[in-house]
Amino acid sequence: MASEGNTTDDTRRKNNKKILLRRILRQKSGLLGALLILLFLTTAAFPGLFSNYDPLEMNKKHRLEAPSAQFWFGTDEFGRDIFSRVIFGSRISLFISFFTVVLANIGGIIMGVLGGYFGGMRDNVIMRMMDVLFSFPFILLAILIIAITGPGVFNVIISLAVAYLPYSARIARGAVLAVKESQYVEAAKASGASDLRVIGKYIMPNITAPIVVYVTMSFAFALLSEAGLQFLGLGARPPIPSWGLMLNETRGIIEFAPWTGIFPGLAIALAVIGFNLFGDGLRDLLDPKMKQ
Amino acid sequence: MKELLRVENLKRYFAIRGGILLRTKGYVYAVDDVTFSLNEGETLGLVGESGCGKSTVARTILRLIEPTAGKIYFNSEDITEITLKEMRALRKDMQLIFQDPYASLNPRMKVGQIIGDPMDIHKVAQGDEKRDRIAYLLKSVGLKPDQQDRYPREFSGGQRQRIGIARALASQPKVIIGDEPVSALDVSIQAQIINLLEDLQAKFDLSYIMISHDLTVIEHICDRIAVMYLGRIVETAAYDILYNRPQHPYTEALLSAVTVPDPDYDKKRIILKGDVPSPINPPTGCHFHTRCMYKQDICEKQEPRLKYVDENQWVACHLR
Repeated sequence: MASEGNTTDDTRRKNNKKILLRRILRQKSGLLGALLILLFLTTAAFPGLFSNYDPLEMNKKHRLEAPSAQFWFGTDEFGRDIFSRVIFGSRISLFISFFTVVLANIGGIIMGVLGGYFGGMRDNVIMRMMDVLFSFPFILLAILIIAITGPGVFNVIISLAVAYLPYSARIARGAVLAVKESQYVEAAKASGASDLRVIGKYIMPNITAPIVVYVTMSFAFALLSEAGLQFLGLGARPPIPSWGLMLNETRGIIEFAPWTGIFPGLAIALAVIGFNLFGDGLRDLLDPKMKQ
Repeated sequence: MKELLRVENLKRYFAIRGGILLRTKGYVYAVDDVTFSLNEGETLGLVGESGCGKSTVARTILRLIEPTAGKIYFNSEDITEITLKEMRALRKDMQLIFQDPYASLNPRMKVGQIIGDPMDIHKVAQGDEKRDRIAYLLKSVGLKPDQQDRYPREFSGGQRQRIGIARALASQPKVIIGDEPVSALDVSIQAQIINLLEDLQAKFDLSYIMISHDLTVIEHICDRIAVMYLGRIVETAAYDILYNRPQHPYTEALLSAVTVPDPDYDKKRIILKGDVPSPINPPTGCHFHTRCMYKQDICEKQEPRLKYVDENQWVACHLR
């Protein structure tokens, strides 16, 4: 009896896995996004594998050379290899975006969930605080915080995280509000579950889908604004390779050496597109309403 | 018989807020002075139209909704006075079965986890003992013990309601409150679940409060029935007494609406005029006077109290 039940259970599980795999494979653009993300993650983790040149090494003989077999993306005004700089630049961009996203979402989700779940006065206090942050234009708020703390990689992370906090707080709060009135949450309370248990076991698992999607998408935003702050010279100091900084350095020379701007710009665009496509694919996959 | 639960003058008003300052504009008188008691091993039916406050009564007993006024005694202890933390621990003894089996089970938990969670909360069983108990409960409600690793979505409505019942049993409660436990199910499944509830009552020494808008559903298992109208109990009696000699005009009308599976059966159906008045602005005196066919002057002015008739039948009507 029992073994019979187990074999049917096993085949059932295998079937479920097959269906899931098929649904994943159907997300063509999402897979492309995942591929792009994977590419940048590898370059960030092992930049030495891809580039033959030191991104900081200046070479007076090869200043502002166009792309060639020797220098794939050309060289900049100091004769540095742009390909190597783009590869190494992915490090700092992904590093900053990653910690921005992590910090902003941990803070935002905690606030949003607490506000949404408890409601009333606590909700009001938290959400009005978020409204204050919302009332500043996003990039200005980030610049304002850097103006107070001073430039630097760590301060860029903090400023972007604070500026993103209200967005993820709102997303999390909205998701909690939708779930908190459901009967299974009431059932958990009726069983005697504490608030912490209700949040951890009944609310959080049911709001992961929208939050995971949002977190992926927010990577794209973070990358873009990180590049913006770098461009303004508020992040890493030269000569550290950074996409935003490279775009800044190309300002005067882009007319006769367009490769100095095109490739870092392309890198930013591809990374952002990667996270966006991946986020879209995830949403289609996780949203039960999109199931066929 | 020992009295297990006693509800005295229970009231729950919901404030209606509006305007910019969220000032209280009025109240919904959802439960307005309800008194009843439940003995050990007994089944009490709570019937009435939708919106008459049945579900609010159920939730107030568990203090999922705090009562506005009144007392609730469980095992002679006043549970309206204890802290929320003590109340949570006390919910071990009082469990709820929900109406909609599709909404009341956490879709992200396996059946075993759903049933096991109340055991964890109240430390009823752990480890292998817990797994055995889950299997035993699944068997008791007519499911297979090896189904505990499945998700609720893999079950039908009737099966899901059985899971909900198993969850209610998990913490070894003394009282189970069924909030329309079968009204979301097909008629054929309704009978199965009612029979199951009856079997479980004997097996686990349970006392029930069964809430329904449909008299035919609960008549079989209820020892006593309380009829509610607009937040008040208008009549209580054993089912056969209620059926043979209803005292309150509302009960009379309710009973005449019961469908009888016989096409030749010809019974005078009492059609009440109008709709149920809004609980925001309930009628003065007897709440039922706006629709009553025997209305007198006194009904508008004075609120009738529950009066003892005979054989434990109580009625709130001036004319009896």
